Amino acid sequence: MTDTQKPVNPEELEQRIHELEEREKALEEKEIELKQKESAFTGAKYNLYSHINVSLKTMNIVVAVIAVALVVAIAAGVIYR
Amino acid sequence: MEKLKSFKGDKTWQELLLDYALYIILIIMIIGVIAADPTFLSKNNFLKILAQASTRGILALGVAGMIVLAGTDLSAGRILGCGAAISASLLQSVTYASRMYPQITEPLPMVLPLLLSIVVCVAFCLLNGFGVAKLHMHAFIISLGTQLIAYGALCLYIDSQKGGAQPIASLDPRYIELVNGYWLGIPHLVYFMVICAVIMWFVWNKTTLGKNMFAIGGNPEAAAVSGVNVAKNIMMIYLVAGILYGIAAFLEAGRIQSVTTATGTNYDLDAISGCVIGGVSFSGGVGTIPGILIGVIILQVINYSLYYLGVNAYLQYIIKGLIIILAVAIDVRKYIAKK
Repeated sequence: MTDTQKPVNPEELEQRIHELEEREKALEEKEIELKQKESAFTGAKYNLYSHINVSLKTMNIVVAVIAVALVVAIAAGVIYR
Repeated sequence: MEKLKSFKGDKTWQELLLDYALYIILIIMIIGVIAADPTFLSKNNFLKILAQASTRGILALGVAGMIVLAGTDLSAGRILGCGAAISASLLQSVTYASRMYPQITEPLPMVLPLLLSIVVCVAFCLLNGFGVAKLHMHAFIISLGTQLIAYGALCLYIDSQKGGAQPIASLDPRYIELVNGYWLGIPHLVYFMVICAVIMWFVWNKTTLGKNMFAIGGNPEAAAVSGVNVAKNIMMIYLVAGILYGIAAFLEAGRIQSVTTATGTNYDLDAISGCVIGGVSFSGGVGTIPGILIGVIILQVINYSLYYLGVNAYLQYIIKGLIIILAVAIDVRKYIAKK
């Protein structure tokens, strides 16, 4: 008779079931942890500008207006010195 | 033609004009100044601009690290003021009767005030770093508080003189020579700036700290998941900035030769503007050392040009403010275009 053919001891069986349950629980915990990390990675607030929701066209106008304001300020400074 | 095409890429001329609007305006302005007064191009003026840009350049190298981390430092100028006051007070001429420390009868070795200046600046920077790294406060808020603390400390220190709040002047001639002297026709200050820039280039590009800094600035969560100790690295960047502020403070006190409570006012804005003009993005994770130096020098040329042209001092503030806003707007535009 080999080891595998031995009759199973109910105590041993219970211990084995308990071990398997613990291992399953640990795996579940690890999976939750990994999911949390993944969500942090993909759902991260990337930077200071992430929240900006303006079209490129609007931004072009903003840049042009500020550039004109700067030119006007420099011109005014030179004229009224 | 091929080169022109590769420079243009897929961009239209309108887009190129918007991307480089700031540089175009500044170059036209400088050409205007040169046309109005060709002596502006003299070697003397150029060296003067470089020397003036040196201390701000060193300060900007420190501030740039924080901007790369997607933060900033509004307290840099006041912290520099504190370091400058300490350096100047310990290096006053021993023959000056109204010196702050009459008990110092022999000139101190210059390394001592330098180290003390660094220690004070590092302490303030670590306070900022602790707020950002551990308490997760926004750099704007914590540095705004530190700015006031540093200003208060500076005023108290200057007011603690026997004769009350008077400028800390009459500095040791060795100190003045070390800072304002020339070697091979170039001011010492320029050499100091170049040395600091080379060291910082090495730190940013060849060390783990530099690589971690860019990773944290680009995406702190991703950096943390990749195994980077975010808090420790942020503290280290603030520590490096503190060392740079300390050196800049020591040199600035020797350069202006008279430290008052106003020393360092708006230096932080100059440093931030220099960084932004030099291509350091407020979105974090982007910036180069040569860019920062070029940005600071361009800004100094503008300051000098406005002064040279005799532009009203109050209007100069408005122009500088518009330059910062335009630089950030262009940065945001580039970000949106990329997205």
